[in-house]
Amino acid sequence: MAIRQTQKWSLVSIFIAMLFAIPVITIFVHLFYPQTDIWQHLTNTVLGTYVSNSIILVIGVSIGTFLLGVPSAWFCTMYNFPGRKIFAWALLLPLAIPAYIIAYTYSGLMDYSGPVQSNLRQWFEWNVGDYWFPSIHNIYGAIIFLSLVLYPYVYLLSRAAFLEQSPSLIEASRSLGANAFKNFFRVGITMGRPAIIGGIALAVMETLADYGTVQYFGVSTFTTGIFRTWFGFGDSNAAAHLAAMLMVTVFVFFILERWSRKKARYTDKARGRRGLLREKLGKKTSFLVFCLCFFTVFFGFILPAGQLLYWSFLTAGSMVDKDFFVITANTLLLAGITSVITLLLALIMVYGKRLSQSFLSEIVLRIVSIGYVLPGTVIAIGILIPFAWLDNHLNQIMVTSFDSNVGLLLSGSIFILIFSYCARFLAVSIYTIDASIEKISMNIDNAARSLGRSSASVLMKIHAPLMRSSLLTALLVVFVEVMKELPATLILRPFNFNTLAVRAYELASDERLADSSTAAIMIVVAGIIPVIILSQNISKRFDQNEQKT
Amino acid sequence: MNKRLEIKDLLLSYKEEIILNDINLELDEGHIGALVGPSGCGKTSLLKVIAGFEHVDNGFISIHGTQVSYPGYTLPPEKRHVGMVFQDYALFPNMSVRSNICFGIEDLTQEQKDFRADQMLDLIGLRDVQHAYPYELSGGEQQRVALARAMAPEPEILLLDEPFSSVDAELRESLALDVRSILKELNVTSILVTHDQNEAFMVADDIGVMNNGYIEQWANAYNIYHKPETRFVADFVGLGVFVKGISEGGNIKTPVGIFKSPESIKAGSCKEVELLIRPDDVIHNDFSKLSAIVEEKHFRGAEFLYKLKCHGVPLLCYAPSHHDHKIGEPIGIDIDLEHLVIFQN
Repeated sequence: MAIRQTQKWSLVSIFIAMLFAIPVITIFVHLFYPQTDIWQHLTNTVLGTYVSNSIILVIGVSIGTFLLGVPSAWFCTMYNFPGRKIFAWALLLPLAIPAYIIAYTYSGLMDYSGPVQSNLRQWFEWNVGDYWFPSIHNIYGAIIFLSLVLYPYVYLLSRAAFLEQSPSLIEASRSLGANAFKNFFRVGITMGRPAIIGGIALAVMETLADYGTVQYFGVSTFTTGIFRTWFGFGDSNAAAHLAAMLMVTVFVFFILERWSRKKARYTDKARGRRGLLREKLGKKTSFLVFCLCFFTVFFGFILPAGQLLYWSFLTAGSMVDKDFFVITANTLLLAGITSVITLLLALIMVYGKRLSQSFLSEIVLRIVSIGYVLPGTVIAIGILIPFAWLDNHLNQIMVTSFDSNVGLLLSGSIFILIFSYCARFLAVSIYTIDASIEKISMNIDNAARSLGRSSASVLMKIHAPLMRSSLLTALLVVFVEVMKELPATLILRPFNFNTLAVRAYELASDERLADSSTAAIMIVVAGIIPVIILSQNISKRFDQNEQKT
Repeated sequence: MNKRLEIKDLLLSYKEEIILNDINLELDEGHIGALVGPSGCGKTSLLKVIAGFEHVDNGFISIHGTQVSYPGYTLPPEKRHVGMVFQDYALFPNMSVRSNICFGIEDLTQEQKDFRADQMLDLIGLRDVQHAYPYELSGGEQQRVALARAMAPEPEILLLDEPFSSVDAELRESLALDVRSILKELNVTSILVTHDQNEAFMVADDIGVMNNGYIEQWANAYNIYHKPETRFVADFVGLGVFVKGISEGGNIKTPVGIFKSPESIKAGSCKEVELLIRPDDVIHNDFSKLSAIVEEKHFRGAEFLYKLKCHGVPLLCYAPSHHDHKIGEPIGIDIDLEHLVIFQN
């Protein structure tokens, strides 16, 4: 009986995993499909550009996120300087702004009619053509803005690594006469290497997945190529082939990130460590470090968020209409439904794994987690192809046997959107809940079972209340991720169905940057929620560390 | 038939590794059994099998005459009426003491539940803190709540996994005696797992000594100590030394004396054997002809434990602590073997 009950949970888990493995499998299979004429055309013309642009983007963002993320993490963890406590969490704020939104904002700030150029003209009494002004609408602009919002991944992971290392190392280096900067290069980078690589790998995966920024800046990459091939040429086969290439590339970085995680675990040998007494930085160094942290936060969050806020004050009157409320309601509904569904599915899967404790259930969780690694465009193509096929056949059956034309039942409704969000974000819920349930002693389960409760009752009465805050976190993070999601929504949304992200994208594409700010600011405000949760977790750990001192 | 628990030829393996092998034991109603053994010997696994958390590969377990585990069948833990007290207590942190105790008696009427909870709280003497949460309690108090929670549904059998290991050493003894009196008062059939033989001696009626997934001996405390059946049991339980000797014509000759062979040995002639001599078999007597040199001594409060050497043979001896002899000094001893424990090589 006990065996059968465990099996029930496992079977459901396997079913869920297979369902959400559909996009990966679809795309993977397309790697081996025969090539079409359009594919031939693509390889002859644009494929080289996609590859070279992607390489430049990846290298640029790696350097950018390293420069912005690692030194700030090092100084905020190891030294004391004015504002350190605030910067420790404020450095996470840029995470709240999707890359495409920061790109629109800076475009508005720096284009000909924007405040920067207007002021310059006014101060120096320049006219059109009198002066040279750098354009940001190119690959370098994309690198800068992607780095500005993605460096927090590097910051977060390297900070955690620095916190977990034995303070003796840095003290040893100090006693050998190294100053703050020497320490950073000698000790910090060396001991944080796995974490730094992991953080950069995450940033790179986001970069490869980005559509909104590169599209707006006219940089051709795999994601824009997939769109062009899909909508322009209408060739699903070639689009899927491109998606497969992107997927394989992303996997490389995914494996790199996994590897670095393992490595980080092994190098973390400082068990039962004491806290670090932070050395105070000298005046000059303090000032430099303060500037570094301040300008990172300023350009990554304060300036763009401020600009968005200013614009939305100007345009809210004309932009907030009935349509806007419908769009907002759509977005909240989508995010709400998706976050609840992913939470329930994740609970079933994580609990199933806990009950069966089998290798198979571990594998099943891994399979589902792949979704988060995949760019939205890849997921969307991977879902649309099988769903469209299914819809056509369904419709045919309905027409022939019931003489009723149901149209595109799955792929034409928000069902397909929600399915794609679940495929992409289920991993977020699973990670959060799994980490939380692992902290509950298995004996708690055993105790409840031996007191006559079924496994389902234990989940409801014991685990759910104990994991309340993690469940809420999972719910919120998925909610916000759905609000921010752009490319998959663009591909899969039903006709005439808009979300805030799509609205911001459409208005920005029409160069109505100020008008797009109301939708954008709502996404940013929602995006701050998970940042608050993150920074709270950090300050909890920080406090624990302080107490040990 | 008043066998509350019966385990027959039980085998448990995990990925080709045998965890429990050929386990046989019986426990009468109201009796307290203890499983002792070195860590990793399978004692906790045996508890888990009895509770229904593991599936058996051979043999069976029956509770009150009903088979609850046999190959291919495992009655799930929630249907077994087997209570369990865990090493880490596993109290539900989100529930008060009272809710913890009531967790297993949800099906009773409110009146019955209240009555039972009060009864349990009185039994463990924690009525004052019934609304407190587990983290507010001391280790000993948590331990008693775990016990009350497990006993509230009146289980057929109560299992206790290292119940005193997280309690301070000085509290352990009194708590162990408390637990025994509570179990005896309610006539609960129970099995205790411990690595500490003194706990087993204090609490249990019957003791099983386990080694490598196998019960080497299942007997009462007296017999485990004085009539160990295997060399492992003799070695694991209590202190003692093994003295080599030759069994010849009904006698056993050793460097420290000649002892009369028990019946079982007499058959053969001239065999090498080992003789178990416990510290309480060696009696300090200043007038004895047999003398031994003091090699080490350990003060134990009321007594000294002397490590002696007698005709090249190391011996242990308890002596009242006013017999304070110096190291290197010869002292007189008598060897009084009431039960001869012999192992043939």
